[in-house]
Amino acid sequence: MTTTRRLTGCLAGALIWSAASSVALACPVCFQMDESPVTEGVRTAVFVLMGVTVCVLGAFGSFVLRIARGAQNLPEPSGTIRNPPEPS
Amino acid sequence: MRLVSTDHKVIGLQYLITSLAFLLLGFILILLIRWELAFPGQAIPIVGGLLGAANAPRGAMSPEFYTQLGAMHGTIMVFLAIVPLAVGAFGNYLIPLMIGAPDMAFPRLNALSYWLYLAAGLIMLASFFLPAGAANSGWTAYPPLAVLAVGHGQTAWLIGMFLLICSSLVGSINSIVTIVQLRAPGMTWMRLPFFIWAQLVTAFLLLLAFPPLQGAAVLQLMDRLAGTSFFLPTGLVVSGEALRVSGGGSPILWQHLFWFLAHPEVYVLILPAFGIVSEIIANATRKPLWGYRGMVGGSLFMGFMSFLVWAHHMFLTGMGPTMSGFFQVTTMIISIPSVVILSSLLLSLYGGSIRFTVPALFALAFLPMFGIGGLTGLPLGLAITDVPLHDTYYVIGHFHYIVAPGTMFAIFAGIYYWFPKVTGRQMNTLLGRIHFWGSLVGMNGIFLPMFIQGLAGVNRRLYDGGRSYEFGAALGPSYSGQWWSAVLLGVTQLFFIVNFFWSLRRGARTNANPWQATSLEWTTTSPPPADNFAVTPTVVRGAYEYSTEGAVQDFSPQAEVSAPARPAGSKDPASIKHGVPPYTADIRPDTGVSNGRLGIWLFIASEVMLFGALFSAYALLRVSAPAWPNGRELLGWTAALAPTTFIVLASLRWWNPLTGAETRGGRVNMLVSTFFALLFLASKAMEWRGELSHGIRPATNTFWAMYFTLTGLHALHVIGGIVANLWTWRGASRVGHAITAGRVRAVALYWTLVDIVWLIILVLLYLS
Repeated sequence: MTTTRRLTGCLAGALIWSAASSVALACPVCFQMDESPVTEGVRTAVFVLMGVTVCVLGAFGSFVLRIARGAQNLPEPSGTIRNPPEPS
Repeated sequence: MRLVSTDHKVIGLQYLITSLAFLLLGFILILLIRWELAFPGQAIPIVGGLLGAANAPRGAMSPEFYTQLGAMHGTIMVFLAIVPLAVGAFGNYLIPLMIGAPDMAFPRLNALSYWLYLAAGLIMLASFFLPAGAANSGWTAYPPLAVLAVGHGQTAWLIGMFLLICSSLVGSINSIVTIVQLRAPGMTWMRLPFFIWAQLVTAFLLLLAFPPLQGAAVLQLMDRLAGTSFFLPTGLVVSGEALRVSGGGSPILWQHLFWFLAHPEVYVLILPAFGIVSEIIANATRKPLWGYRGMVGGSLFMGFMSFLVWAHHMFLTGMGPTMSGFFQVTTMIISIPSVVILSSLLLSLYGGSIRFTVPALFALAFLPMFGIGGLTGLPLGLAITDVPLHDTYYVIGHFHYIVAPGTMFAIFAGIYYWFPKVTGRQMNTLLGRIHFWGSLVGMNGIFLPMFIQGLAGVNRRLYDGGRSYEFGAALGPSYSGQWWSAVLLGVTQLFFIVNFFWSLRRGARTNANPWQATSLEWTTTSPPPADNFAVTPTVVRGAYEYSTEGAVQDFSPQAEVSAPARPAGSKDPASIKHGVPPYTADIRPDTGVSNGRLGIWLFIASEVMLFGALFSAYALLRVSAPAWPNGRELLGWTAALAPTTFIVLASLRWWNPLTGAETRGGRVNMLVSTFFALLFLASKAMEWRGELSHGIRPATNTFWAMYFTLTGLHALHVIGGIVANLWTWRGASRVGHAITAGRVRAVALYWTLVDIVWLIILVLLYLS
């Protein structure tokens, strides 16, 4: 199978999946229940908690970048031996 | 060994001994459960008569006691045994040794973490002796069952959980600060052993995932003690009678907050296990880890994604296809880093000259066991297959393969591997091999049939294993097989217990590095001295330099120093007085922060998650309510004017004394801040008094429940701020400028958080 064929197959699969997702993912419990106020409440709660989490993780991410830059500027202690390349 | 010590090694051993005791207890509970499932209604041999007439009439287990055992087995194993073993014991003992530090960054907080954990465990255990027994609503404590559970067992569970979360938060802050700040010279990020990366990501998970459960525990305590209805819907009928509560709550709210913790908790259980196994596999194969960078990246990505998958435990709550679609995708994505790490470990075996030592046997067995656990989890991450499998024994089988022959095998591997470092003696190999093979057969004998039972449709909580249903009637022999496997597993553990205590005194003496390993802990004596290293080691190479070309031997230690001699005359590491950990007040050049500053930022992050979870609860209740009271009409902005002014003034005074904090002016500012904070509390007390005098209670409706809970929690934070004010004020004249300035910055940041939280409460409750 050529790369182009493989790619086309993947794309077609993704398209079918996304077009049919609401039906394919539905189960007897939740099918077409998007309108319920409880569902809306859960969705809002999930968004709030996820938003807070992403903000906190973003703050940590920026701190990690900062210390990564700091680490690059630090001189190596004497006698350092460079890591050998990882085995492939 | 001193009982109260701030030495990380002593605390690590305290965690180890306590959590092993809890592990044994949790195992004894499951033996009782397995007996009941194998021989329902029959008297339990030997111990049946000791359980009391209420729990086991005529020696046979009552259904009520069975549910208590189920709930407490899960709680003890997850929260009191395995996480404390993986994080508290291994993390505490090994993190400073492996990064070349003299101790953890905050030794006193470290000790506090252990004692909080012990208190939490004892409270939970003591609940067995309460009149109606221990918690009996499952380890997930789902409401309405948990809220309506009779007796005080569930209340004790919630209080214990609250303390346990405090312990975890303190411990995780300590681990992160230690790893970021106390690495030895030359210990760059990519030279850290993978074990340390795993502990770092785990600490972040504990720090951010636990606070929402803390918030949920507070809400459930309010439901149980103050009569609120956070988790009780309107019109709930129990035993044919309408429940007399205000209603308006949602049981789904608990699931939302609980699983926000409990799914990352799975990674809290797995990641340290990966860390332990990685160290042992590299050592046993005499090869570097294959794909070290990919493993590090995978663990970081796994940590990030673990916060975005929690609702896959809630497919059956009717969340709708859009939401379930999102969480199915994130769940499938998170399986990728697990596969990356597992594949790297498998590939690390390729071409290695493996030493089949006892720790290596456990580490090698971990790989397929975790593989079974991981792969059987995929169907549970997809709604369509989760619907029939949910709450069946299939889920129990999947989870136990991850945690029991998965994480537990890694922990046993770690105990055998680092035992010589801790004691200077080797554990017995023959007893270790018996322990390994017996555990492997026993665990698979217990957990493998669970998949069949689950696929047959047997619910996980049935007292008789589903025999009263037609589909479960034929499964009796499988329960008998599981019972005998549990007996085998129990007998096998006796070999471990005997080996452990026998080797403490009689085990063969070893040198400092019996496994010929490369990481830093093996360059110091066994057991290590009080400050770990006589001279701070300088790291010159990566953590896995085995069989390097041109090297004299097949391993090259990270730091080329000889093991220092133990200080003369010292027998007990804890008896040596510690120095202050580095960067307590000074700034570390490459990170740009001091230990205290990083610590307070981490604490603030956990507080943001706590209040974020409570605001998320507010959103759920408000949006799903048919009608929500108007806060502007009920409370009014004028009521909030005075407290808002006071709290802002209390905070602003803190940004003044940043310079010259130890001067008279600076100290006066601290007292002025305290004064305004007290005024804030007084104004809130008057407001509460006014509401109560009008007959308004937390139980009136969910709006008032939210009002009393949020303002009460915020007031507790203000009291915490006052304590911090007075502590800093008192210390300003005693400690140096650098330490006082650090404390002032920390307290100022804390007050800013308290301000922001108040402003959000103001908008949510008073202005909308």
